[in-house]
Amino acid sequence: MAESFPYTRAQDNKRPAAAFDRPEPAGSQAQISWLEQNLLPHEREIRAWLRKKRVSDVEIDDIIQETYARIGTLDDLSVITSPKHYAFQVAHSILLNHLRRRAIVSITAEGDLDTLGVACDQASPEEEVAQREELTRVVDTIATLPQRTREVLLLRRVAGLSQRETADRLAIAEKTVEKHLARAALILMNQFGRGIKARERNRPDISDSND
Amino acid sequence: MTNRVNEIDRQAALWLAKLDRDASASDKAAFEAWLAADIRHRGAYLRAKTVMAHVNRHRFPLRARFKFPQPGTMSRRWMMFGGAGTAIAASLAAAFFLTAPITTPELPVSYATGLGEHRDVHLADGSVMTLDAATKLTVRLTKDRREIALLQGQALFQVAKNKARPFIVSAHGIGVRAVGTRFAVRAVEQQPLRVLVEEGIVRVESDHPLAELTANMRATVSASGTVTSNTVAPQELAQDLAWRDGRLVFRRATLSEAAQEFARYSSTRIVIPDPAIAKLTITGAFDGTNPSGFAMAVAHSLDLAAIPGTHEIRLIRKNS
Repeated sequence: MAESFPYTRAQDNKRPAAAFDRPEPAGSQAQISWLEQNLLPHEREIRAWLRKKRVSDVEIDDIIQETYARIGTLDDLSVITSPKHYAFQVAHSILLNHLRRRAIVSITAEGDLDTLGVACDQASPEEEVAQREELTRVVDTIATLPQRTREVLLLRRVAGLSQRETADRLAIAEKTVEKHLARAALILMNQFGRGIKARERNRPDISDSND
Repeated sequence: MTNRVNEIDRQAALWLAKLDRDASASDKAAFEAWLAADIRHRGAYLRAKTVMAHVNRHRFPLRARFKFPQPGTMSRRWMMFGGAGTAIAASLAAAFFLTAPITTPELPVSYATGLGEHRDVHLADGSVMTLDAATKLTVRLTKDRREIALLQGQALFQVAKNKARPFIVSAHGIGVRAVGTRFAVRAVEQQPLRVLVEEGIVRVESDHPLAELTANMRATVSASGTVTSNTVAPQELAQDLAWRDGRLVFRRATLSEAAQEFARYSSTRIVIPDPAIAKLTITGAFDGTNPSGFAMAVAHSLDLAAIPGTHEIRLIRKNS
């Protein structure tokens, strides 16, 4: 989000991991919030960059997942002064590891080491437009969810009801709420960052069982 | 690429939904094992949480854009209690109301948040209250009034329109009355009452009307009932409400004011023994749950030393 507010330089773009968070199985609130503000907005660009390097879609998914894991488990995110550059670097080092593992080193990928082309975190005009359009994107994505899935997502994540309350409000079982929530999460994971358009979006079946 | 579902993403989504309610010990163990099995699992899970956080960050505009399923008459009653207590209290209340005759709940219901905790409370009339950290209030809904007593802290009120049933927030002996609007009231100890209006009109009153505030106005009300109000830019208003996202925004605030604010978010106190240092001012946006990060940023920009202790962090002159 573009902020007109003058941050102090020392805090600019930093969302340090809180040392006081309740223990979470994976991802404290501070870490997730950092990822949401500093990695998710660049994910699309990282994917496009990997695609240009002729990395396959499946492998791009692997690299993105690993990037989230590497960055999301850092104790102190406040040391990262340039999140976008850092995300590209992490993705790049993971790509190199993958290439090494395959023992086939692509010249294109290696040759690019110093030309990441993302030296600064200044938002490009395209990015600024993208940020402004983000709310529209979120709205569109939610609007195209199957009705029940949308209702569950709205009540649970937008209105802030508990899973129990959501189940009662919709007069459905908690297990059904869980299923719809999982489906919503999967659809959003496919949409955000990956940039699949709503129209061509799949409605993935979250479980093998029928309703 | 259409219709392609990444299998690890699918598993991550299932885990996210499963752990969204209280998971059994065996589920938790299975989850830990899944996480440990492959680094991509953890990454996919973090990414699932991240996209959900992305939706959550847009929750305020989203609330205005979508129609929400409203509670039926049956669940409406216990919704109040559901918000009030734990899941157990909620299910007990639900069980009770399903079997007992329903009466209008006129008894006040209390809501409270702890240090650093935020909470959205949905009232039976459709209004939504967002409680900041260390906030206490009570709600009493009657046929012709909606009464909120803000005992401590601050909260944002998104009021469902109902002319016949005014929505009144009282604090420090002052009432803030709205019909349908969005406004925030802040009643922090040793500070004047503060009212922010995002939308609509609210009236500040004691036993008589004191002032009328419109959108984008900020007012402070002294103990004697003197209202000082001014119009602020929407961005500034948003900064004052940044606590909704767990951020604390200071504009030329003294370090002691900032320390007081952090005390509402974390049990780690920021201690500034030197009054001259306490008077220094700071401008910036900070993570409310991280007083150490704040203290270190301050030390860095004001050339001070931040000394961490067990339950406190001291800001002192360098080499003293």
